[in-house]
Amino acid sequence: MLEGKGIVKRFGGLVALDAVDFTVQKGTITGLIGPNGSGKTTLFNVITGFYRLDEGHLFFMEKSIERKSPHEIAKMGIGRTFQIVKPFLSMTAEENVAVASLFGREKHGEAYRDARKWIDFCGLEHKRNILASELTLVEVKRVEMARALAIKPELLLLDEPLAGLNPVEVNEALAIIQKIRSDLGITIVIIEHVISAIMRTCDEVIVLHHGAKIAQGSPQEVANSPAVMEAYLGRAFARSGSMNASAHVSS
Amino acid sequence: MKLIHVFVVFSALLASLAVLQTPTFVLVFLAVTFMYVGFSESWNLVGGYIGYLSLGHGALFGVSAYTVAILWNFYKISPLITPFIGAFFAMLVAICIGYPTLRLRGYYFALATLSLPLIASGLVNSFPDVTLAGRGIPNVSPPEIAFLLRPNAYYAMFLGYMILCVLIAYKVENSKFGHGLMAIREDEDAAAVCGINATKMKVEAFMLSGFLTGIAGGLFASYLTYVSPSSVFGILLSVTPVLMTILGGRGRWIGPVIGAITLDLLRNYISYSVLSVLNSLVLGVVLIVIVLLAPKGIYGVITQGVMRYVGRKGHS
Repeated sequence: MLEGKGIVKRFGGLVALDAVDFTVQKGTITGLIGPNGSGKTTLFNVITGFYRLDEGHLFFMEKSIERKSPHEIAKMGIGRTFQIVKPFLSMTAEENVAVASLFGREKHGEAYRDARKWIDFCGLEHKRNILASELTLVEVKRVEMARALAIKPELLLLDEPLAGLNPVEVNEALAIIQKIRSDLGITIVIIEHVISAIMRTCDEVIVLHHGAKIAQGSPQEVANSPAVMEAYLGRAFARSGSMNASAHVSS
Repeated sequence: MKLIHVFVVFSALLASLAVLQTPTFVLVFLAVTFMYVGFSESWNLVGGYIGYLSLGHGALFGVSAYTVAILWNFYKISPLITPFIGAFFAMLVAICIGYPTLRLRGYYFALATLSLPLIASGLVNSFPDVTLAGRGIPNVSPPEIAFLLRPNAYYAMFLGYMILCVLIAYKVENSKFGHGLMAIREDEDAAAVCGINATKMKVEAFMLSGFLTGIAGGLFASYLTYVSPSSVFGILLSVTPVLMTILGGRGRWIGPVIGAITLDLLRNYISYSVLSVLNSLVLGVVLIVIVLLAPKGIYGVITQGVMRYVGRKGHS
């Protein structure tokens, strides 16, 4: 469904993405992990058109998307949320989502009715008419998710949806993410640092390190990959044996 | 009954003043106030809904005013028709300056627009054969309107202009277009992710704003019968709609209505009864007070007060 070939993104002398090849299969939940500064969010920004890639090719449903601007990408069916949340602060939760219903891909009746549906889907039915500026971070993240769903995407990119959430909220958010895939059939890519959540939820994991892809596979394969252990734990630790990387990283 | 209905009914009542025997000074005062309501409403489309602080709307106003004056002076085309031609030119100018400058954010956009009236004034002075440079173009007056009927005729025209602008702003506020503009104001990146083509929508809003501002400029030229660089390209004319909109509450159709009427009453009162030199001083003080105490303007203060009152009643 989404395919990147030899993606290179440079900021001046810094190579943020170094010849990254990756694929995302339709109907899967794919985790995108890696230490801080490894290029995860940069990859999202390249896919959604906020950054122009310097080299390489990007295909979404067999169509080239590397020269499209963010609003065109949205219209093609890629929704996203932001690591640093970007709600429409002076609008209510419902209005936030209604904007996406109005400008999204296909019309399903009245925009506000559509918006209410997505607000409820994300478990915010009691917060519909609250201004985004008065919502908690957890709620704003849900609003962003509802807003991304309201454009009727085929592919949803979630940038750290679990950061700053307590364990109960993490479980609620994961339930919503699984519901998005099972009920709506939307393919999902998640950037996340909560490795235990990635291991439980994802079918496939991509690991970035210093802008290069060092592993892609099932969560178990990736957890046992020496390159991944080295990136997360250092060379000495990685050499000491076949421990479960996920347990160490998440503790 | 919605506020907009109150506005329409009230405007219809005001229309009757044009045919009744109303004192001339009342008509003249109200006509200018109506013009400022419409002008501020046009500014609100850019400064309020998208939140791009334009400090150069006087340039758009002046382009149309000069178009009307030149078309009358050289081709004897009636100033009753030409405001629409002037508005069209103002719209073209809005596209030309909007396309590059609307990519700038925050203060940079404000600074870029601030230079526009200065550039326009320079252009006028460099073509004295057409514009008569600093002396200005006199005798821009439609011959169809008899001298005695002038106050009534212009009263009706400016009233019509105000109603047009307010209804367009109301329509925009409750439309898909308006939701897009407000989303851009709140966060351009998030708006793009929702499928909004921000650059295109900003230029469209600026075009509409330029056209409506141009109508005011064109009408004003023939109303004053005189256009000069200092009358249309001065900083005061560009800042007035900004002040009026912010005073009333920006990003709402009702804001410029409240703000323009309040400020126009205030400054006329000061000019006639206190001391006219205090006029611009008062404008400055009003701006400072509003920005410090009520950034959402008079309408914001009223709605907050009402909400507090309703809230208290709800609790008891």
